[in-house]
Amino acid sequence: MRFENRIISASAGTGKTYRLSVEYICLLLKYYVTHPDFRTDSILVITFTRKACAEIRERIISQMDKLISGEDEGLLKSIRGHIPGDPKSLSIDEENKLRSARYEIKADNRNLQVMTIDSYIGGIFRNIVRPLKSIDSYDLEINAEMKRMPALMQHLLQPKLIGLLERILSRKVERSMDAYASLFKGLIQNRWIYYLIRNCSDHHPSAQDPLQYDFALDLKELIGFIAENKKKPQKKLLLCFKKDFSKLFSHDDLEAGEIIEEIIKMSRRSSDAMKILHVLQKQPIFNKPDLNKDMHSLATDLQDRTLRALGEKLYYEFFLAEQEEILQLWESVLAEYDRLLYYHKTLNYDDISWLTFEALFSPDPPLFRMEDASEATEFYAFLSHRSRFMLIDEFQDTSLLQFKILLPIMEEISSGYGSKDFGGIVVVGDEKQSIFGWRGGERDLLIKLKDIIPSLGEVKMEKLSHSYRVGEDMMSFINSIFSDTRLHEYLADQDMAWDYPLVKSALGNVSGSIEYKTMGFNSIGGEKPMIYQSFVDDMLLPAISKSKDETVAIICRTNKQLAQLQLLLEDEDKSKSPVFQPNAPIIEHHLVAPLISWMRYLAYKDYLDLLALLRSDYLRISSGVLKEIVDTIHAHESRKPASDQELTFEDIEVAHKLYLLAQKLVDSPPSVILQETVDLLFAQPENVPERDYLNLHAFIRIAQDWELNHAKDGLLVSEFLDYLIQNQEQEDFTQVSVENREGIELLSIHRSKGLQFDRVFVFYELSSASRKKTELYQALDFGDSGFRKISQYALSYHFEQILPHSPMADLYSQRQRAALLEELNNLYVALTRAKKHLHIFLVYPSKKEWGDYYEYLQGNGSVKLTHVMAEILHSYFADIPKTETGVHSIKRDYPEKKTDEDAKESPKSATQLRVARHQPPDLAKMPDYPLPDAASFKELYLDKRQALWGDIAHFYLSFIKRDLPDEHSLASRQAISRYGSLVPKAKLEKLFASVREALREHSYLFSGDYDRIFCELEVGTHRIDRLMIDMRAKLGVIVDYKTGGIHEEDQLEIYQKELMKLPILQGFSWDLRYVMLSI
Amino acid sequence: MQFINLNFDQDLNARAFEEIRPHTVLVFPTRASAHSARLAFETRWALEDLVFCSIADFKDTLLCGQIPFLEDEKRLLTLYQVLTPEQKEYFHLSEYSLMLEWGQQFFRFMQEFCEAGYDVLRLSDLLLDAGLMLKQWQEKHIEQLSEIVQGYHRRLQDLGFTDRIFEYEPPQTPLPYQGYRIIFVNQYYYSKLETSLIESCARANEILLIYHGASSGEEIWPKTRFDLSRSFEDLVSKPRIKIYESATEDQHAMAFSAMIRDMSPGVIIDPTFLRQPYSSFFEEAQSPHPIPITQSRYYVFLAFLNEIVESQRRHPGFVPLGMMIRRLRDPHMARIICPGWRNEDQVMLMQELFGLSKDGILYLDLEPEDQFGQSKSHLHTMDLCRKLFSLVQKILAIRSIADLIELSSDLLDPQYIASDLELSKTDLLPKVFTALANFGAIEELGLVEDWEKIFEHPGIGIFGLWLDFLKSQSLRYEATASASKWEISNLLDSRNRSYDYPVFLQMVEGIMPKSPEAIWLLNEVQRRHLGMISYDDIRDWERYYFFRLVLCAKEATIFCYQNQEKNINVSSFVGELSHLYATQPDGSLFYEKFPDILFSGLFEGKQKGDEMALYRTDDLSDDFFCLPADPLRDFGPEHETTQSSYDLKMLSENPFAWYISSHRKISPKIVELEETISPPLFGNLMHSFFGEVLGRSPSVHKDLDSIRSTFEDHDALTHKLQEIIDSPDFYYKIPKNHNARYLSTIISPRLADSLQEFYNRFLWWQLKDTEFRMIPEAEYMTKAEQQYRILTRVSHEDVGYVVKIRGRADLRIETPQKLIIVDFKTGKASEDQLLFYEYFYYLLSDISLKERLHSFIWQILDMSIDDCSAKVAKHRESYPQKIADALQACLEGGYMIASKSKGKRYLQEITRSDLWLNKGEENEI
Repeated sequence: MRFENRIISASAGTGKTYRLSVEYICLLLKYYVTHPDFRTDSILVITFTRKACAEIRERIISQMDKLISGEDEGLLKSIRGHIPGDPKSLSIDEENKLRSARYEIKADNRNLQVMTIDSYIGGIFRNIVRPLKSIDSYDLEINAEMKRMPALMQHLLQPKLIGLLERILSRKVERSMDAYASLFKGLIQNRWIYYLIRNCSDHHPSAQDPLQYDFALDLKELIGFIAENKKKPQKKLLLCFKKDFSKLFSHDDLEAGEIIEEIIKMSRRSSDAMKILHVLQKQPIFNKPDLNKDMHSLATDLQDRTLRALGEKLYYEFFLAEQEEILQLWESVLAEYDRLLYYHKTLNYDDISWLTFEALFSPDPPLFRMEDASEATEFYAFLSHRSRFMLIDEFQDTSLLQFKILLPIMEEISSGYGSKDFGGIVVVGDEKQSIFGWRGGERDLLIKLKDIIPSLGEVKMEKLSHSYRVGEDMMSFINSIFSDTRLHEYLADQDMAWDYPLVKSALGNVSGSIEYKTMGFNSIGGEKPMIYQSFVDDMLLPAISKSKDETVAIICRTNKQLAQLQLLLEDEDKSKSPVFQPNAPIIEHHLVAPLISWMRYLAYKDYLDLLALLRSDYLRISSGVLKEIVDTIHAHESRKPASDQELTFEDIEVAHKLYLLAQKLVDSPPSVILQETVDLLFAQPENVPERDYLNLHAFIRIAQDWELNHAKDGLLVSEFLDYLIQNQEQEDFTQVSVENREGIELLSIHRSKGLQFDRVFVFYELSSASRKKTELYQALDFGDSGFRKISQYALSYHFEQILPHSPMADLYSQRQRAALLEELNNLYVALTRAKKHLHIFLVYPSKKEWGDYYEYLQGNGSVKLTHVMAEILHSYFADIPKTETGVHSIKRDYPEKKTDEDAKESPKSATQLRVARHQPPDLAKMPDYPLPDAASFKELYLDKRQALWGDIAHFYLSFIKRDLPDEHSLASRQAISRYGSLVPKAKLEKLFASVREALREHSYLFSGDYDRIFCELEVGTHRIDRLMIDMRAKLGVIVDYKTGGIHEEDQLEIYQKELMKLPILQGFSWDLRYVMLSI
Repeated sequence: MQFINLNFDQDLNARAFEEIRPHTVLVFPTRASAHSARLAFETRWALEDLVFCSIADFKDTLLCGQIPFLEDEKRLLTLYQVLTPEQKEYFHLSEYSLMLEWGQQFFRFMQEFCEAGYDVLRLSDLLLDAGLMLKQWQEKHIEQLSEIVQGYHRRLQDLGFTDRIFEYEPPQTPLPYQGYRIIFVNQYYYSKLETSLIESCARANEILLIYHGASSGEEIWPKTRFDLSRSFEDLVSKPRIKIYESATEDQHAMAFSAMIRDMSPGVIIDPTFLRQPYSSFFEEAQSPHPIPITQSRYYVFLAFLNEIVESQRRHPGFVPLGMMIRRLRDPHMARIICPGWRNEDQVMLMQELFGLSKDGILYLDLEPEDQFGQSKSHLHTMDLCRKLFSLVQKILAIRSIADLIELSSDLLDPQYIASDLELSKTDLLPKVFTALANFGAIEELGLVEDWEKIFEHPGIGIFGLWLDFLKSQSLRYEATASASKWEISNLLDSRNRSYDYPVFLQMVEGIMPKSPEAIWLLNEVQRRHLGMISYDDIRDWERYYFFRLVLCAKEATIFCYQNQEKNINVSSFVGELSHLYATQPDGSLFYEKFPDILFSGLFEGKQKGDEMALYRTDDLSDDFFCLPADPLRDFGPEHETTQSSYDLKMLSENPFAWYISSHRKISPKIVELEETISPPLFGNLMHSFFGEVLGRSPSVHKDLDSIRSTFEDHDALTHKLQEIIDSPDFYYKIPKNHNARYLSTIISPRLADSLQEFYNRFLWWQLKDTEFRMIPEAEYMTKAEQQYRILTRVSHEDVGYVVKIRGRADLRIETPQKLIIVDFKTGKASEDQLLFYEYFYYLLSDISLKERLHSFIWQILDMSIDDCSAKVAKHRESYPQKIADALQACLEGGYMIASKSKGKRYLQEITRSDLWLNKGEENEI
């Protein structure tokens, strides 16, 4: 029977992980053993984060265990919802299936296929694309494109491209080429869009297209109208305009005709034209009092017409020209980038996805021909042969590029045919949580999936309607906010769709609270710090002072806000819980940064670094002592002529001690410096959080790791500092934390996704982040629901502002709408992270009361979606009394239920831990190395190579027992084989001849008296050149060949002693011989 | 051939020894297992003719012919030379360095292909194998590779060499062993080549294969199928197993370190141990390790030279100053170059270098005389660079290894470079000279026709190749420390060994068993089809040797970890092991989730922090954030301070930081010199340009006509800018990368435009009907302007303190009606700076001139003028008082940290304004 493909819509907290694991187990019960081709690894689970992978993996295993042991009735009930059978227990057959599958998974992790989409695509890349592209190995590096940037820029400045580059860049010149890095980075990261435009677009607007409007005419009409209708005819015309407009001209004594002429002239220069556009789009350009009142609206209409005509004109004249330039530049950037990629061999995830896509789909180069049906099918058969079921989590975050790669696999297995006759897909997602549009996440993929993949057939659409995260009160709040009619009316007005299904709580009554405070600030007056202070004092501290054993998170929109809050909160007096940003670099940790300063002082005698250590949390020296040190440094540094002596701070005890420590450590490896410094300085006050120790250890570990694995030449601290700078953005260089045990996590909304906390503070500022001016603007419209074709596109670096007034205005507003929906999703994600306590702090950029501010926004028509949301929140709490500090609070207490999670093991104190220090060997304490007694090592080892000749001769002789021709032949072959890549064969043969010659003088070595002969005999830890045994005479002859140059005395005695230990040689007499061979 | 199967209970070696006859060869999987078996057998030796060897040595003995094999970099160099330009393009091998990895993969693949019994010279036969189902790209690759192999083979024949990749079958010549008994002691996997060799040996020798553990199925030759459950069931006594699971890699190591003291020393099986920082947790397992030569002074010096030499690829003739500072910070480097130097010379050298970096210099010239000429302030730099760069020039001039050897016998002689300790306590000299001799063999063997065909710059290439060649060496010394009682091993090295109490670390998926390696040319299915070693073989192999070690032990202790954040999972082998023990009596397998060990434990009990705690201020009262004032000392006998505009800004915003940076002039030492056009560099460049164009000295003009021509000729303006860029003032400050080209091609015309626009949009409007005097920024200053002028005075305890100022405005224009000050900017403008100039030039002399003052900022890149006159006028009156108030506050209450957030960024790590913020006081004014 064909598998019923499913698309499951799962609002926040509705148990996606649980559901996916149930789906997984159901597939096992249905197909395992029953279908001969089915294996446990036929099911592939794809998700977005490594953590989610691990969670799903763990959940699947634990649920299989629970089912086998019959522990979880609820789980069995869920299974029975899909697989008919006894509601009380598994059948014996079912249990056996699970046991067997469980064993397979246990014994080989590869049988449980759970991976992130990045690693899945990475797998395709590694195993299929990389070899065909002949990339032998590569390193994953987050900032790979930035490392290649200098070489890329160098390339772009070649004569062939300079003209093009100049046209684009000279519109807004930066002081260095480096300042354009984000433009080029954008071109690289979005190379997929370039591909689409070049290959999948029939939209080709041209500057030659006829214009619909006449700017000159409209402008003439507008200026003429104002000139004719100004109240005071004698007043200079320009003075009747607003300042922004009149400032366009160098003086104010211009007549209407001159103004028009000047503007038309200006509109031919792009920078001036943009100024005109900017002025025209501000309403209105004229001073209302200077114009008859009944003429205002007519003048405004004329201005709108002029603006539209200007927009059209500029679109065709400047926008399109630049768009074409960008496409040309893009092509060159990508071609060079690819070349560099093969050179540097460092890739980021975008590179991997792109290269994979390119190899599979791109017509050029046609390394893998998708158009060749047999080859394509074969390839996807290969991929989908093993994986016959795909369970995809967080589908709304899939990027188009990723989706395109997955699509043929999804098509095959969802059809239930192909390389095997069974298969299916379960897609889980929530379009409300699509917040990764900025990195290519495409929300519409989930919404339109059914249409995009017809092979899904009669796909079953499901909505998970119960939350397992929050209690009824919290659920009711979230439902109320997101189903509010004002929101949905606004969305409908703006032609936006955002479906919110009501969700019920599966937990019933749960104690918890919801708090809300709103605060306006004057964006010009620099009042922002007060906002943060109020958030901390009025909302955060009162709440966390009462809480204990909770997981707590503060969620903000931007990293800048997180940094501000971290600064405020790192006051141990105020917050008992340490605060941390999981993403913060380790080199900024308050116990690590001073160590870096200290190492810089050791390396470069930078006194500011010394002062930084002295004032850091290790020492916090008083300002009095600090000043004394500062004055001492000043006196030393300002000596004329400059002092050639180091400053020792002999009169200032603390600084002198550090100076002495520096003297001691200056040549030590970094890990030793760090350990000794921490030993000396870290007094460890009682309340040092474990996280600090963890980070301190992590940093020392980085130093040790560098010494063991990365130091290329020497262990100098200056090289280590350089290494830190080069790698500070790598994943391993972020701060570490003790998960879920302590502290308040500071998270961006994006990072909070998929996580949940007992208590969540949402710090939300109502001002939208704008695009960085140094980035590329792009807007795309897919004409079809399958995302196969681009019907319209717009690209710009300088002229984005033209777009809303151009023929492409719809495209512009479509992109704006998408951004707004994403913002709504951001808010949804932020407000649904809390399990029990939610605190919302809403900030808006005005000193007015919220109500007045909202009214003002409504008045000038600038209400945005986020304003509507804020209004909804505000009115929700309007009737809830607020505290003195302005916080509205809803709080409910119910009897507590115990949960499994409460039983966590407490960490083990490690006082018994005794850690050895890895110290590099101290050569000074070592005895002299037993070097051969040679006049010149160079002569011995390099010129005459006596040691090597000796080795070769010994090796040759190790085959010569009886001086037989066969032995010499074998010896010669073996020696040539071993030493032929060090010495020319002819020389070797000459050497062999001289050995043979030399042996003639020692014919006694081959006397028939010896019935046993051993060459290169290993005894104990020694190797004896030659041992000759006369069994009858019980005589042993130990021979050591000497080939000149190097002599090691006393060897023979040592060998004799060693041999005498052997039982078989007891009672033997010994003859010890050095055999000198002149070679 | 005879096969013997043993249970894990049985002693493998003992059983093998029973089979020894007078002429016997015992072949083991590794040299280590052969060696330990030999030692175990030694006392029973009855002088039989015995060979204990590894399978690799055994093969070598069998396969050698009359033609020498080429190895390592010698084969890579040879291979590189046979590649055609098209082949290099096809495989993206544009230079030799890119070849290293590709070449290794190439040889590895060919070796495996040959091990599977195929003739690499018939590689193209693969194209005929329908069962392989080759992709189009694979067919192309194979065609290319086949040609390369053929070319390589031809080249080797010409040179009189061969390669092991061509040895795919037993030789036709008689084998060295005739009439021997050859015992293969428990090798889990035999390649096709190995099996053919063994079979061919079987014709003239007696072959015995011993296998340890139960085998499933009938077929045990050549592949063994390990039956774990039978092997386990067959065991009379099952080993005890202890498994500890932790949360992270460090925690798992700490769990072991908490227990190691109570354990008897044995073996630690951890393939990563010696590369792991956590290895330092185990004092008990520390052994004296050889010192990598890369850590020797000799090598570090060569690496320093190499870095300079390499830098010549990017910008010939220029040596990055930042790199020089970083390297010369090690005083030994300077002393190698200038042996007579004392400590003081090193101090002076660093002062000079930091002086250059402070001045914005990015490079040193490879010809130091060109840069420093007769400069007396750079004597040490000059002395050092002259010697150092002359050596660099010699390296750049190298054309052959013979040249390098000559240099290494002279200026680069290790005896002069290495430290005394390295020379006397290690084998550095033999190591280096031997390596050099071996390196020289490349030429002696005639492997390279022309280095220029390999390296674009032979000097750079050969020297880099030499360092690459050298870096894998390590130095030996006579260790005084005793060897560790714990043996550190891995599954590979511990094959066939047995231990009573093995400890396993890193039992996580991906390490044990290890992840599959990147495939090359053929995928796993295709490799299996051809009988080449596949990942499944390797995994089976690891599984076998793991379970063999465990099941041959008395008690095995296993440490593993599981980490959700990183998606790290416990090894499948552990899963299989626990399943195996599921039916065993309680106690035979102990599984514990080891509680996290607090990292504080790593730092406890050894700090002497108390000693330093004496100096620590725990009371964060206001005093902590305020440097105490001692006005009479702080302001010297003159009771004055001399300030720039920037200094004054800092004084008013953050007196604490001002005292350190501006007043006491303690500045940072800059090492990380970015090769970019920084804002100060760009500012200086523009100022010079504008100054140059506008004239070096004040000039009086009747009307604009006299200066019009200066602005009209765009080409002349651009040319002038280029002259400035190339002038000594900027030559070493301009980055020699893409930014330099950007500057000359895109910025230059733009700056010329800007000047023209400055004339059209500003000068013309301001000066069209008037005579004027133009005073550009220049070295020229009137006597009065060279003097500091008193901006304000403050009295404290009856002593008067003065603030003196001096500065240079970019441009002043004086007309009968107006006094115009213009500042050229590329970014945010500061009105305070304009105010500062107004006071310095005019108002301090005559306050009534304020009526005529007009201040502007010309935004150079935007080509727009900001008329700041009104804004400046607004603050004009209060400016001196603001400074006076700030100083007065310092004199009275000390130098406080910033009171407003904008001043907090100054020296925050020293002022600790972060802690002040947290005091929660209403400090936002």
